[in-house]
Amino acid sequence: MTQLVEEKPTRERPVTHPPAPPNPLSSIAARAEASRGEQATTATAIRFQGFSGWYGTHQALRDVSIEIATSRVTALIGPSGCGKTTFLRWINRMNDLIPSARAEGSLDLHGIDLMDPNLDVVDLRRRVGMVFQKPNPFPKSIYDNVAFGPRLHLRMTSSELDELVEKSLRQAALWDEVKDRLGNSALALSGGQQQRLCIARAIAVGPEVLLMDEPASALDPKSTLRIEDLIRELRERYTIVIVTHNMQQAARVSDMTAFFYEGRLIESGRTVDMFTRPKHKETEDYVTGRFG
Amino acid sequence: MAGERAKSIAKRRRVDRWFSRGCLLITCLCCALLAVLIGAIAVQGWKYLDLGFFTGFASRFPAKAGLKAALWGSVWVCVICMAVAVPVGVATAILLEEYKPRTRLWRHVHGLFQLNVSNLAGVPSIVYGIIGLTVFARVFGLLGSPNLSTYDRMEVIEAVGRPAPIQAFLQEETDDQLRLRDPVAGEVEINRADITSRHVVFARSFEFTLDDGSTVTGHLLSSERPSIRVAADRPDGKNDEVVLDAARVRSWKTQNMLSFGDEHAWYHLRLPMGSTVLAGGLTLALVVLPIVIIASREALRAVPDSLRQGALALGATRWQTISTMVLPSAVPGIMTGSILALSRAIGEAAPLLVVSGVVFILYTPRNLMSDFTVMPLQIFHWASQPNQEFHKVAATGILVLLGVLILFNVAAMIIRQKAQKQLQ
Amino acid sequence: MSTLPAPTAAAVPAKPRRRSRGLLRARETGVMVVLGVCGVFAALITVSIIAVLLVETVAFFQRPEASVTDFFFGTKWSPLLGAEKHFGIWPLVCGTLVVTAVAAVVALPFGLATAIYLSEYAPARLRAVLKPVLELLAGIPTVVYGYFALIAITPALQWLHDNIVMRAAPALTWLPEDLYEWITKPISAYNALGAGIAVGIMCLPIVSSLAEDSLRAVPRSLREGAYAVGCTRFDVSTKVVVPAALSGIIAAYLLAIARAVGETMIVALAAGGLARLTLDPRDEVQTMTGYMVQIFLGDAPAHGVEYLSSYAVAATLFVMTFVLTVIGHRVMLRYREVYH
Repeated sequence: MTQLVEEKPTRERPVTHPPAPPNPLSSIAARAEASRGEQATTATAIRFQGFSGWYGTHQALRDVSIEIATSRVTALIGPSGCGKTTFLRWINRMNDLIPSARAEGSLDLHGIDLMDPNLDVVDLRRRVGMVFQKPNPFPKSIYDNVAFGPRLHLRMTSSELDELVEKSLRQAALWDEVKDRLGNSALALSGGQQQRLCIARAIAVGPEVLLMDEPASALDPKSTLRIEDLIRELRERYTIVIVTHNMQQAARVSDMTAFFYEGRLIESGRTVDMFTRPKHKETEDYVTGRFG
Repeated sequence: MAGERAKSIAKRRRVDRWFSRGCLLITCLCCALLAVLIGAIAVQGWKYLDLGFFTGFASRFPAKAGLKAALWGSVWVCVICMAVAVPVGVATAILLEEYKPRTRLWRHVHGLFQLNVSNLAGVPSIVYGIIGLTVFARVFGLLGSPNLSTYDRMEVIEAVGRPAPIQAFLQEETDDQLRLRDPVAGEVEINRADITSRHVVFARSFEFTLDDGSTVTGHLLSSERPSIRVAADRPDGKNDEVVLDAARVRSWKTQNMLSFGDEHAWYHLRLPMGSTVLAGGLTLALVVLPIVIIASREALRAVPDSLRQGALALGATRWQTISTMVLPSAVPGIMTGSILALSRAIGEAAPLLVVSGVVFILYTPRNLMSDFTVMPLQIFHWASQPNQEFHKVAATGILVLLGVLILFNVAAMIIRQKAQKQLQ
Repeated sequence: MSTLPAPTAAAVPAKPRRRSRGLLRARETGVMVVLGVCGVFAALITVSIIAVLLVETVAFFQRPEASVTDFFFGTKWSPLLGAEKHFGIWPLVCGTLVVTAVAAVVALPFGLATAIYLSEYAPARLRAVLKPVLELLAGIPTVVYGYFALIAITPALQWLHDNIVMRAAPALTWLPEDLYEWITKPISAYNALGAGIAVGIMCLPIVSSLAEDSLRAVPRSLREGAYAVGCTRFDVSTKVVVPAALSGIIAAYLLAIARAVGETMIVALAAGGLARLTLDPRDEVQTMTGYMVQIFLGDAPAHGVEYLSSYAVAATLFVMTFVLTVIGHRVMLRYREVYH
């Protein structure tokens, strides 16, 4: 059933420390998985192999190998500066914007080599949407924000575009709140609404993968819950990779979890397993909040 | 002990207070200076400020002197200047801000380029004037003698029954006949019906070959047969006046300016262009280009990166990101910077003084090849007159110039405020 | 180039008409080319400045009347008058330096005081008034300052001379005769002092706005730290903020001095046209820019030696301002690095 783990054997060691009290998050994760029902095995969407990344001389990722499953939510957890965001930004090559960024190893999306220097990154980013940590709506109307991407890529009639905007906003669970004021400035929305608008904007282009870089960290708890609900709904259609600092969030929304520490992928697997039976000491320490 | 300390604190407070007052005084002095300056000029200039000042041309009489030629000259020159400086400046700013290079070599070039722009802003404007004179007005002297202000407009006509084309000055043109004057041969008459082709050349200098084989090159002063007066070029750049006997001239030819477009069209172009509106506008464009570049860069830098990243993450190309996201957000800043550049351009006198000198002009520019004067040059001219009355006329000119500048500043302020409101 | 298969997305309508990627890429390249051409144009300006000045200066030195040693070490500049022409740059440099020095005496301390007041003391409301006034002062064309120097500053100086120096003069007769003469020397109608003061007023807003920027860039924490140990505002501004912003202030000074050196219209109107080796600001002087104006206004024939000499003067001026601005920007970048 799980096929995504491919760890380095040298890092694996039996857990020898005394049994810890049961992690409360494990029950959350178990409940979340139970609510999702039985899962069929899916294909691999993104495959990292022996992947290392640098910013200048600073090595941000060390020899990471992982496979990310299609139509699953994969959470990336780990302390600050452990390479999660770097990892994410390589998937849609946003790191190209940072002159000093470079990487080695192999990375492919459905068999397409993403490390190819000749890869059309514009087309790649159309297929791999991204939602940023801070909501970044464009200073345009709500409608124009969602229509921005489709207008770049597709020739559509205005009725087609209307339809697409509505569909995207519905998927982002924002339609009912904004349908009467599509012409208003997106900057007038609340933070949570702005972030859902950014998700709608990303969806409207028709991506296969959605990357989310701590999408709820700048939001209040209520908006966070709405975003999490949304992520759970979207997992049917998209492969979602989400970076989060919030253990509970990882437990609630993700099918798979990968734990990064100091640029290394320490452990990855089903979320339930990660929170109940972590194989590594660092993982256990982190998910139980002993460091971080 | 305690008493000493208390005293010291009181003293420090006093120092602080006096320092603050001193600074305030100096600051107010600066502002008062502005009032004194404007006041003094207003008192001087009030007398001649009337409608006639705007509709009159330069004059030997202070009461009749007006600013019309300079006003329109300023308009022409500034329009040309902004039409060149704004697109080039904004494009350069985009290149510098939005296309950051990745390889080491290009990063080095990029850094050098940035240094270059900031240095350009520090070059004295009169140096730009010299460059404008050499490059635009004279085209490096490549296209003929450096005498700029003098050229002869001549007709070149081919007609039935004439084996060679005639090049001559047009004397009179009637419905059926042209009367021309050849500088050597004298008057020629041609029937209009015979003419097969006709165009105009602008002769910059004449070369006369005499019957003994020697040649005289220079500008034609007059050609009243039987003698021809020529300002002949000397190797040191000066001219000798030479009188030739027309009978001894075996042949002559001219060195012409390159010329494009009908001479009456606004886009008419001659090379070397000489001290014309176009040369002046291009020179001013050099002066304000660094200002436009720096202001546009600031405006582009102020656009938050999250907007760029958002657009790029949706698969926008670099130019799509710039044209749909970055530029629209930066437009108010670019506009404000451009208006400031324009107000610099309109008050700039030194480079235009080099390009065109102070000339007495009694017409408004008609096309790109017209001679011109601008408001600050006219003011300079009036201010450097010995006649005190002209100083008052200069003050009137300054009042008009300051009025225009205040108008621009207010416009810039309104744009800035509107942009701020939009952001909120 | 690896190509990606068509999207299989949920939200996109069944048959999207994709925009041609080739067309987009071609447009991208086209835009790059256009921007590159504009960039090259901007770079060419510097190249052409250096090339033109160099070529014409070399042409000047090839003339029999001119020589390199005479130009750099000569103390006589008389290109237009007299049978024998002299091209020694020092009188022009001297004139420039006197005007610049007077301008610096006006602009540097007053500009800094204004900057300190605006950044450290001024209440927000007063600042909102003062700042635009200074901006307006900065936007006034230099020909206006020149006129102001001619009709207001110089007469005021002459009035001061007549009413203070000359009234005090009878009491000074006991002084040695040459010192007495020096003190009571009249101020000529065209003089470096009036022009220098006008140039200083012109430079003042430049100094104050650049210096204020650097003062405001000093982090709040530094000020708070100083207040916390019991500093008065005076202590904070002079002992903490100004030293911390020193490189920015020096940069402002250098850039303002560069402007003063290159200033043309004010000196052309108010400083006069007599090139002589003097350091007395009451004298009529000719600056480098003033000489260029004289040449381009007059009828010096093109390619004559006087005409070419103006290129040599321009080259000297360019080198001077270039050095000042380069150092100024270096210093400014350093202060930016510290606080940004």
